[in-house]
Amino acid sequence: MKWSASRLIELLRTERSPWQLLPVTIILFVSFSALAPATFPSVINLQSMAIQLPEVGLLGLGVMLSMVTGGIDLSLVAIADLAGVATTKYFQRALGPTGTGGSPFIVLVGIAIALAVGMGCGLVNGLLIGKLRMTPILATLATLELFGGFAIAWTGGHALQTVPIDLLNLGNSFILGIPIPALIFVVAAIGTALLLNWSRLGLLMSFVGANATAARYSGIRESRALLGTYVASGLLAGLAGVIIVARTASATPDYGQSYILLSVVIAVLAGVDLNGGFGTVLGVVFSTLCLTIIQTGFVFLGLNQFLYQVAQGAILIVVLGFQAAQAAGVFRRRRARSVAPTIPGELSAPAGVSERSETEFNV
Amino acid sequence: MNMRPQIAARDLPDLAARLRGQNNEGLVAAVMGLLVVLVGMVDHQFWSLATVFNVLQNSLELLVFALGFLLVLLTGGIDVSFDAIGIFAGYTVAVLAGRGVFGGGIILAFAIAAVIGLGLGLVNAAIAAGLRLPVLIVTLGTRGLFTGILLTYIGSNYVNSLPGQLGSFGGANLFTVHVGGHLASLNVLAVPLAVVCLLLALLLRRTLLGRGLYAAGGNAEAARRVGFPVGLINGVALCLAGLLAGMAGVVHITLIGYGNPFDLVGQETNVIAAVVLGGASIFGGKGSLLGTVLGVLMISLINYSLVLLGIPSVWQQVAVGVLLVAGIGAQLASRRRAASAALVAEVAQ
Repeated sequence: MKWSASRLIELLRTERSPWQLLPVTIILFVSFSALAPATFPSVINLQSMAIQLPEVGLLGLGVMLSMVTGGIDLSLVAIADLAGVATTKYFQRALGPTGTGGSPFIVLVGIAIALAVGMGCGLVNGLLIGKLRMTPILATLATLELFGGFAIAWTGGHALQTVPIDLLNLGNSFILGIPIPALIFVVAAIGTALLLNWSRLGLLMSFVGANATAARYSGIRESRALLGTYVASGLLAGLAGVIIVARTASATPDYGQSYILLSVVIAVLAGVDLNGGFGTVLGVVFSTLCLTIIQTGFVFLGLNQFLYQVAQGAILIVVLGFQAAQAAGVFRRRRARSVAPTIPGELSAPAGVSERSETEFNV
Repeated sequence: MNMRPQIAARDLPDLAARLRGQNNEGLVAAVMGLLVVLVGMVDHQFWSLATVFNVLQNSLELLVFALGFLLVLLTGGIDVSFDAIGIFAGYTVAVLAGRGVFGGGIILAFAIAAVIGLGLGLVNAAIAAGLRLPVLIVTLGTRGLFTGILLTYIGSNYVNSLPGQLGSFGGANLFTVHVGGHLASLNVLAVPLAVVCLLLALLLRRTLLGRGLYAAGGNAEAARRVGFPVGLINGVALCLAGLLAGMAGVVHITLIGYGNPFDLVGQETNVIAAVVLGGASIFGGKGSLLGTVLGVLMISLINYSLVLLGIPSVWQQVAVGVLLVAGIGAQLASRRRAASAALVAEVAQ
């Protein structure tokens, strides 16, 4: 691939190209740097942003994967919390209630437990959505309550603080000035990109999301693709859980309630098609960067933390409105829109239900 | 418009079908009855007037939210901003009353909250129905928007004492009973809420708008071709839901007696579970007011039973989650059964 100015312009002009977010990211960074020149563009701030970014980025990747199949995963935050709680519970057992030492082996087992819990929770989602054919939104809304409930019940609602020093180091140290969580995020993003673009499962996911009926008639086992999707997003959430524990030195059963909105905003800003069939890892990375810059920028400008929530809501609605206007042909000639039924199990539904108008989302 | 319940009913003996109800209301009532018997056998104190009053009292606020959620669900949308609207309206009323802007008259409080709720509902409607965007995603966004605006511009402190009727109304009880040192009572609010329920039931059954809600949710395209203004109907549902949520916010603050802007948000699953358990279809176009009332009572009953049985309150969330999964699962199962029954009938013809 040759990098030239014309190539870059071409990338930027391609419809739904993730590169469109690059100028947005740069503009945001430059504006906040101009508003807080002494502090915002400093190395320390960049490092602190790079420490904050991975957990929401991983959740955003998970939501993106589920959206590619035409669903959505609202339960990821609860999965991350439950995974963190499970790991810390293991540390409590292995180290005693006050122990903070521990060997690398214990840390590795702890991480494995978190990832396994993440995949297990994802499997539950996948079974509900793929096998029982529940609507993803409702299934994950219910499991959000369920997994979060387990985390709260397991801890009695308190934060657990038994975290071995090795894991804390993992969460708060740097390699060549780059925080380790950020490196983990990069690896996870590359892994997700490989899964989405170069694996059998990724291809199936896109097929199922683009047109579930066609996929089914082509002999694709939809339930398997969905199962794989939600296990993968659960795995990402489990990893986010580890990073949260490592960064905050505790596992809080109801940590990050605002991440539910945030992870959806990240995916939508990344240009993931709500109807399924399209999503890019690069888009998620850029939109996570954008939102982290906005969050940190707000802090540096001394703005109320709740305004960030307002900004998230506003971004979500503006981006969706923009996409709707684009789809309706406000900005250019009307482009052919693909029919994308999103409710799994529509084939078995009475005829009336599946025949929604094309312009209406099935959410 | 919606043939599923009739098809399902034809397969069953007539009486059983009628007892079960169009939206499984009978089934919900039966499960509740069973629950009452079982819990009562473990703890005899359960069978008392105090339980009735406690469950009803706990249902009041949940019910008003649930009614609004039902209206939107009938059109096929899932509104998750109702709790944000509720606390926005409720807390704003508390702040206004606390600053002496109005004297705390309960009717005025409800009127102000209703207007605020209607306004926020209008925002939802303009975005979701106007731009034809999925209601859940939009309301997830507006939920953040409303909560953020509330905490940034209106306030983030407790309003400890509510003036006038707003403060005293929580103690205005219709009935009060003493049971073993415990005081159980039913607030006067139960009466106007019953009236609201009746009015909404009439709206859903007898008016063109009500039928339009079912039509739009059952099959939007068919409704459009029959001549229903589907976009408008979806918008009106969101506005009404906002209005009800605003009023629910005042119910909340009067009953607990203070205004906390951090209340409610994040606790919407109770309401969703109540409506879904009450038989309203998660795909829209199907559901009834009676079912929703029963669903709300069921959730309150279960939460109350958990407390009475000494199960730690931290398990409540798990219980509601399990109920929600079970409710959705049962709906999907019956939907699939109905679909295959329809197929069999078609083949037989």
